[in-house]
Amino acid sequence: MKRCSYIKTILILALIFPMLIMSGCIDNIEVDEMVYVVAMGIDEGTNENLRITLLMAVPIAVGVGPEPGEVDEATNSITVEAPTILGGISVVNSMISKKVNFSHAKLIVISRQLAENGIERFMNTFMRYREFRPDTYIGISIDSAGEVLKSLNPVLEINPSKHIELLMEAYQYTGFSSGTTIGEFYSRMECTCNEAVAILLGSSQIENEKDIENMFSMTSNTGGVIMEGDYEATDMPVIYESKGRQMGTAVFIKDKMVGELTGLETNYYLMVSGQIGAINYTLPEPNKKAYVPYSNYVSIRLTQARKPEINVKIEDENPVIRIKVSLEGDILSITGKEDYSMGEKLTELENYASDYIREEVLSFLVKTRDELKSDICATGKSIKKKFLYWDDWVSFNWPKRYEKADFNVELSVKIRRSGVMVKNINVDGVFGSEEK
Amino acid sequence: MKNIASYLKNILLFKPANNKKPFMLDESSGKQTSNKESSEEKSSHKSSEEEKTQQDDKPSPGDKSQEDDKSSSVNNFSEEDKSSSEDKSSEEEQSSSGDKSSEEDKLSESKLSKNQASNEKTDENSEDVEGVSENYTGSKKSDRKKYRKKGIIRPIPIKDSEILKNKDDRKAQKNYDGQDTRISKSMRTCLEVMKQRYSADINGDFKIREFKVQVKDKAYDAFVCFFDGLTNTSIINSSILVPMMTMSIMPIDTEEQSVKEIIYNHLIPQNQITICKTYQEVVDGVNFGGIGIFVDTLDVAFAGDVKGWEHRSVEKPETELNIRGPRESFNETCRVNSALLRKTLKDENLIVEDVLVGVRSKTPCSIVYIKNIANKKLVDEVRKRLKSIKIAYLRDSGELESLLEDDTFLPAPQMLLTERPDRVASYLSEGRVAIIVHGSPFVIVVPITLFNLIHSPEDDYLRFPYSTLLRMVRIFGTMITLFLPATYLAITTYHHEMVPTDLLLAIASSREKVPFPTIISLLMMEISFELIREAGVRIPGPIGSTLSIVGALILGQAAVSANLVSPILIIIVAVTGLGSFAIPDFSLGYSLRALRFCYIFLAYFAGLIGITFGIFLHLLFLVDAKSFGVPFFVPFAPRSKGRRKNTVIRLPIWAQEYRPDFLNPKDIKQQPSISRGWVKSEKGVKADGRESKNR
Amino acid sequence: MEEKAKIGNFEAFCLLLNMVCAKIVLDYPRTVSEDVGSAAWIMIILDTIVVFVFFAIISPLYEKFLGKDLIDISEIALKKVGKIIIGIIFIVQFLYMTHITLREFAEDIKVISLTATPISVVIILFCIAMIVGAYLGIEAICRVYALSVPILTGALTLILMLNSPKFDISRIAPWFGLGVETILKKGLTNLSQFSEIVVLLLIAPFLNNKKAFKGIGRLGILLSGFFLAMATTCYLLIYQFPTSTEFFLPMYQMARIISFGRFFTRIEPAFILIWVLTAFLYLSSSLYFITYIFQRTFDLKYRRPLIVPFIIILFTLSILPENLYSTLQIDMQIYSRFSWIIAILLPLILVIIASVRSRKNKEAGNK
Repeated sequence: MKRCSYIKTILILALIFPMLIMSGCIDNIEVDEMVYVVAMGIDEGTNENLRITLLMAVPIAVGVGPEPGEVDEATNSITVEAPTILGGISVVNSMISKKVNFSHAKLIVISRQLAENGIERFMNTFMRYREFRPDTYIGISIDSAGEVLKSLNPVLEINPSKHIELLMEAYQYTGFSSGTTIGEFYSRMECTCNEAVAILLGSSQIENEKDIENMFSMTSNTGGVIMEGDYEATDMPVIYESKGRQMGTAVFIKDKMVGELTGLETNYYLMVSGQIGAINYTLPEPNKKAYVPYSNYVSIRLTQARKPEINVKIEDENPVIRIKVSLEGDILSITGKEDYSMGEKLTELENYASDYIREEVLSFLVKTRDELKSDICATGKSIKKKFLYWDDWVSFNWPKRYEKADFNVELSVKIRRSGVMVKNINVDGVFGSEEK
Repeated sequence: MKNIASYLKNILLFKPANNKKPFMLDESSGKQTSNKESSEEKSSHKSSEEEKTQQDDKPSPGDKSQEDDKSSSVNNFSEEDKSSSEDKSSEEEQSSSGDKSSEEDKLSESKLSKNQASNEKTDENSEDVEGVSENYTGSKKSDRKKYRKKGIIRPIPIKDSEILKNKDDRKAQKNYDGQDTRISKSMRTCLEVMKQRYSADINGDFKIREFKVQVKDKAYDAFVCFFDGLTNTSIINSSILVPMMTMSIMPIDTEEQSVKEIIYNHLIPQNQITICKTYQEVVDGVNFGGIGIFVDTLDVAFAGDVKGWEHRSVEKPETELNIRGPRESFNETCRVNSALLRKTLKDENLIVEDVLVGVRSKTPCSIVYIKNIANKKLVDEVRKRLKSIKIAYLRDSGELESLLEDDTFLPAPQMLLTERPDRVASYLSEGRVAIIVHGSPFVIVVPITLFNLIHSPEDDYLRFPYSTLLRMVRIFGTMITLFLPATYLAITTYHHEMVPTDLLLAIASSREKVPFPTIISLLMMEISFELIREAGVRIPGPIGSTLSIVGALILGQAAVSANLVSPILIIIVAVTGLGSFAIPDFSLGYSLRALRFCYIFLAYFAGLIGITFGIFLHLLFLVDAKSFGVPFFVPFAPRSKGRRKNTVIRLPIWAQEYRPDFLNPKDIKQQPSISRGWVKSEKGVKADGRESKNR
Repeated sequence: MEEKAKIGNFEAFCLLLNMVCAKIVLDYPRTVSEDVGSAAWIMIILDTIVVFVFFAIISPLYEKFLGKDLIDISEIALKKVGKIIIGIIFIVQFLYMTHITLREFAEDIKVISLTATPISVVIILFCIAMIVGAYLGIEAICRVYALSVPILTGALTLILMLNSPKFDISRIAPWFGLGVETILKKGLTNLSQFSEIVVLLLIAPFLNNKKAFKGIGRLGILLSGFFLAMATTCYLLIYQFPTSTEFFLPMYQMARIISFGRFFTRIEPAFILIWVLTAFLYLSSSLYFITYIFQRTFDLKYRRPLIVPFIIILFTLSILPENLYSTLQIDMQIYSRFSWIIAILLPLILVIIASVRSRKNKEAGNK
């Protein structure tokens, strides 16, 4: 009986397997039969078409190919115009030898122009089509997305995907961008208490020192020093072989882009939304006015001490948003002559830093309220928790209320340690007498 | 060596000599009487059959054999019956008989004994019977056919039948108790019979020595026969020939004893002597390194054990190597193996039960178990299966394994074959049963579960964290063997998104110049790996290492530089190979290596889904399987009671208080819950009441 | 005729857990969130309590019939004719349940991985596994359950836990979702999600320890309720209410967004193992139950010859829906609305009638 059963099983399998193998294997595709898109850029094309630029990895230049280094360029870009993304891909497929695959795409760049008109139509493709992954980064380019992609050529790397991936993750130690992924963007786009952001990208035109001087002469209307990061992607005072730039954040309402944050403002955004990693923050020396020429600075490495607490209360129909941010940091460098690493001076520095950053955070929040009208810091989450029914919440209409919100920011900075030095001997003060 | 030689003497076909019972038949006599009933019942059948054979004998041996076919089909029943009573005496050592299986067992033997009977007939007074007897030893149809052909060529001695007809002697013997192979009183007849049976004129190594024995002042003719080379001639000389030829002169008070008793009690100072009533018993003894002693006027013969063949000594195990633990392995001699077990266990409850397997080879096998631990049902089942086996020649335990196993088609071994006595001993102490096969250095252990197959003998001797770690490594190796190539194929052809991008680009670039699809190059490399492995086993020692270098280095390197495969694939195949060597059980290793290919095809067909499909079916078949009634995945599926202390992980030896529950041993408890008497019994208080200093 | 199977407690428990929770890897978290919005977990907990109470009513009544299964009980309750009618109802129920699940799993696989392969091939793949499973019988299947359910549960928990950094409690607010009334109303029809617990009444005679029936049922209901609630809650903690109704395969979606560092990302194909193994187990045991109920209903001597006809029926049925959406509609609109009546209410009624009858018979016998 038992033996018989196996013979039967084997017979059934023997009958069915050839059938399966003949009709199966359809999805079987070799690794080298596909080309892997590293990044994709979408621009507005002619006649309402989309201009799609694909940045494709060239494996033989990257991997352990038979003759490494045979191919110089690790990436290859191709631009196509089509009404839809996937339509464009079909066109591309018809002309290149390999099949385009998005499963390893790292970055999708959409031009600002398109973003301002709403990008829901793209997001749908990215979420619905299986090859796009939710952990792909999404960026908005200030100028042409195609240009950005072409200028994102790796210099320190040979592997373009690693290059982009590491670049996008850099926000964790710079705080100048938000590291938004498609999945996150989509979720926030559809959220009722939160607005979406995206990475702000651009390609730089600066070739040499002169260009930097020109740029500053055009923008320096404040008259003082521009703190690092206080600019957007295109106008960074940087000379570098690779022209792609990442700085700042694109702010959305629903799926439409409404404005930008500079790199420095992005720092504050990350602080309030609790995403900040460990950043180097430059503080003008206490008791001296900021933006004074030849001012001294204290550099602090800031991290988040506790998750920010956000509380929303409704007072007179208008929400009052109470935000409590706790930061902690190490002193990295002090350019001035005062030693802030111990004693009362340390407390002074802490208080000063708290006040200084609080002011900055407040002005950033006011900007999101008044200028952008977009609750990107997800302050609505706390009020959402106070609702019991969905219908009530929807009719409450948080985004409209945010425009009338008042902010009440508490911010504390604790300096935990002062680098490898515990105190600083002032060169002028060694002999003590000169001051007299 | 001395020890081993003495072990050797404890051979099969014989129970250890018991002073109180000099006659081995004593034990069987009771059984015979019990069998008498049945034989009497069927006596009518028998007589009718006798007539028939007599009639058949008349025309010619050739015709007779034809008739034999018919009669065997017609008179199957009576034959069976007859044979059972016939063979009782020869198989009396098999302690429990009379159950159905053993009777069936003898069914096939019946023909043989019948032939022997006819041999005897012809032998007794004809010189011209060579052809007949020679052909009669065959019992299979093909043999008969051969005989038939010969029969046509040979002139048929008509007088044969006439002589047979007139044999009163034989008839009388038959009437005695229905056994026609009883030893004749005439020493001459015996000599003829033995010469006949062993074809003494052709067989060069069969020796017969004739001499005289003096008992009670009377000289009797006698002879001994044995195989040269299979026996120890010095023992024959000193323990049999010298006393028989010389000591008989010594004055002994033997007035009241018969000749038979005198010879048995005084003249053969050999430690293992059986008194045989039939030729078959003597022949079985002689075939297995014994000596047959025939004395005129006695209706019995003596079979002495003088084994002295060349054999391997106890050596280091070759397939189950270890660093810690004993280094003895079984060899090809049954008694040496059982002795090794006894030496390890030192337990009087260890039973070594002998069973002969093989209709012709009569290979001695032993069922070994510990009487008060092993479940009786399990032992009965093993005995039943072993006795029911009908095979002409049994050479090795591997053959026995495939005859005993529950499921021939299951892709996993259902018994453990090991060459390490310590391992068998530990399994016996858990309540399992071992089967020793003479001629095989591997001992079968039943029942087993899958987890026993991934245990190595070393596990028990290492400290528990190491052995648990080693088991994990082995399981990992098993998984790699089975799934790594398939998973690689699935990922690179179906699930590209799963590979990290850097690696994917590396794979893609390494494949850029390879003309074959992944599956072809994978199969190519896997098959060549199997080739290297198989060739490495077959090739003589010194060349073997060369081959592995050629295979591993040059072939792989060349395949890569010739762009036949990608370098990453070489790594995959190599790691798979390594994994397969980490599987401790040889048989399981084969099974997994074969199944690896199934998984490769499934992965090719549907990627990871295909692999999962394979896993599901594989698991279904495995969990459905049983090894001697024990489910293969116990104690996990079905989940048995008791904690799983020695399966995937092994807890320290003091924590293994119970024997495996699924074996249903008679004594479940192995050791008390505190097996280390010195250990602290309470917090801070040692077992002997002293307070710990570190309290 | 095969030997009577023996199932251990743990295996039975695993069977129950997998049968009920198999829908987690399908679109269950989506459907409940569509029904009651962000308060899905409340509804599931309520449902679990209700089913638990149902079971608490059934089990003492059933204890009189230890060693008998639902079909026997229906014979006691409604005589031979009733038994056949009840048997047919259950066969239809199981056929319905199985064919939808079969189709959904096949669609699932087609969406996840084998995008170009024809759906029929995928279904055939499942069918082969079902045939082998049903052929070897409930004992073998249950043993595979015992081996794999711990792994499956572990893997599911792993998916949920790996997503925990992305959890946001505000996403399951507002707490009562679409309203208390909706929760209660949808909660009633969503009792159908527990309709697989009826298998407990079918395997009861196979249990090694028949008294353990009660414990297995209780633990099974509680734990499967726990897993259903946990999976749904975790899903909602990641995708807030309106977004949560969009994805066909919530668990897959969750597995997709797992990322730890640059290397430990994109591991969702590894979870295909969970999907497919769950499917194989669920479907093959369903097929077994179909053939088993048929055999018991019509007092047939052999069960195995039924496998092939039923697999053909199932294959045909599952190929019938035109598209993915209509499959989901069949599931949501028809099956989940009414199956609780058959799977939960009907057994209760049967057991009550049977116990009343048997008591009467006993009384009559005594007199």
